[in-house]
Amino acid sequence: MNRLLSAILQKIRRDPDGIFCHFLWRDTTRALSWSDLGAQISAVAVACKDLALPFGGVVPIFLRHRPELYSSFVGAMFAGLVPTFMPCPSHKQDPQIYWNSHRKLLAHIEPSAIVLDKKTLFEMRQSGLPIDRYPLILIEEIEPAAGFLPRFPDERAVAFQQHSSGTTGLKKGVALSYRAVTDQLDAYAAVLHLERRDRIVSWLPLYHDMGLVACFLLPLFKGIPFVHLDHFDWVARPRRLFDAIAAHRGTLTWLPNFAFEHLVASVGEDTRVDLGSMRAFINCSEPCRMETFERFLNRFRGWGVAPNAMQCCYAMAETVFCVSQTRLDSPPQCLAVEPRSTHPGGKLAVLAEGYGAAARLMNVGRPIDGIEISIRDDNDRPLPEGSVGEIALRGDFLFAGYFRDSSLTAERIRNGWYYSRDLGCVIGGDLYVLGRLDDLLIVNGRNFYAHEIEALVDDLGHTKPGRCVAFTSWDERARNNNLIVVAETKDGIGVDPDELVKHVTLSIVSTVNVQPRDVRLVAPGWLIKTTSGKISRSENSRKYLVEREVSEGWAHA
Amino acid sequence: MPRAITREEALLETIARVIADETGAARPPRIRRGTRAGQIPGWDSLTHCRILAGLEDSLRIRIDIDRTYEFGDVGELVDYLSELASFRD
Repeated sequence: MNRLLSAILQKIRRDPDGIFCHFLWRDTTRALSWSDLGAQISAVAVACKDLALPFGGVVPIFLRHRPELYSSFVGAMFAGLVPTFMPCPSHKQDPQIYWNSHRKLLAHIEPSAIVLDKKTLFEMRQSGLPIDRYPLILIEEIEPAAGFLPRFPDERAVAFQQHSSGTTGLKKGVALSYRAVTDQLDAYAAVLHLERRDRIVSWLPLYHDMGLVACFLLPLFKGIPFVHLDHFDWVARPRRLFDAIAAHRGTLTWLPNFAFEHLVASVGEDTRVDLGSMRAFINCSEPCRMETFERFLNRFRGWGVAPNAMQCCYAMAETVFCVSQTRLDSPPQCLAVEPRSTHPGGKLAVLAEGYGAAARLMNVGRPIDGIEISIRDDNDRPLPEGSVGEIALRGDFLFAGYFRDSSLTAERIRNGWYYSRDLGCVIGGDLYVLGRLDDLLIVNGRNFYAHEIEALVDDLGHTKPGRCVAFTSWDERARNNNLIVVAETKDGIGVDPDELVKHVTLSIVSTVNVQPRDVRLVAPGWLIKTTSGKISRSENSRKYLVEREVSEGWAHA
Repeated sequence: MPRAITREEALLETIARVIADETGAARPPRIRRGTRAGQIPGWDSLTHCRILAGLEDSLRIRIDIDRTYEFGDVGELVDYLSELASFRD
């Protein structure tokens, strides 16, 4: 029995007038009922059926914030297809560069069909993307359909794919079965003590696992209404999240760490609303910081935010979503540790709170039922409690593998354990996450691989091949990670350096939608190599920061 | 006799003050029409939104959300704000 699709169909039949989503767009709210969802699902499923698409075919969905997001995803599942949400370019991105960068991705996915709107289709064609070689489902042209015969794929079948962040050419598709998804949703709902009266409020896009699983599929499966804002709207007008919470008596929301900071910095006292209905503000998807929680609490305690509402979650697409979650009835906790003890293989040295040189590590809770955590050394051997090593996971809702990438799957899943490349430590049964083992960069809650950004700059052909480095630096003022790119210039190419910086910046923004804080062009020979001849990210990051400090010192002198 | 400050100069001054507030700078940065976000320390995409919100409060105007990322440089922002302010006048 397919529990996910059965639960949705049951709600449509038994509670047709009930609200499944409050859809927010700019200053308007639209209440979408289960029968609205049912009618739109029928229309999408019939459109898929008319195209005679193969069972299990992958259907990327390229839609901006609109109510058909939900029905296109669920409708594709009811047609026996495998939907996957894909991001559309933001206002900052050049659509031509953005869509053109999808050639490799679409060739890899080989979509059975693509769901999109007319604007996106126009932009894709303009960019030269060979979009017309795929069957297209234009959302504006879907005809209402009176009824359809839903297909109920087996629980072991792939329900959908989630795609990692990063440059489009190298996005990895995480294939998740129906059983893995419903097992995760049951386990996560239990730890959240999810009840009918809960209201999930979110601005997160659905191509992000936190938005898709925690803020869309969880309420959909459990029959709880959710409130959904457009993420572009939220970034420009962050207080809208609070307005939505107050208007709908929201109880749960998930936010990356930077979003807490953005709210603290943006929301004025004059817009005060009652946030007392909130059971949890869950910090997830980038390193959680105690200082951020403290600032958020100081700022909004008077608005009804309780210390117990500040929560952390450790999650990833490869386990559908949640791995560990803090207890919803307890305030956040952190450990003060000796910074030099946080390297792989070391034993974490816990210090007394308030010790000057201590690093503060957030407790991200215990594993939820159905998932097991093991901290491993370089040779895949389990380490004792308190040791720092790679976080390995196994359990009921582990993904089946990366779509059409057996070598990466084999590299990451070994002897039934998924090796996350995250560094962590377990103390007293609670998980602490220390960082990444490889070159993953996290900016504004989104993941990017340094080597992908470096390859992108290399491909532009104006800098020395292989002589580029991307890294992040913590900006205390903005309380966020900044992306920094340093590239060596070629001799005598006759390109204006300012124009080159603009070109590199625009290409990065348009391809991966992250604004580099600095693109620094340096003379040949500036970048430091390791003994094995590789460009060292850590050494060059240090060199860059020292030079910047010196130049800023001069500027302020 | 000192020259009267033009509307454009007044807007540049307001923008510089709001930038300083939102980026945490000790004093308003020197900006010209051609100044771009990347040239001002701390002016990233999130701060950009906060700068626009700060300008809304200071100038008592409402910026169209769809225009948020359309301003290529300070000059384009000044032109848009002048347009809004004259409409309000």
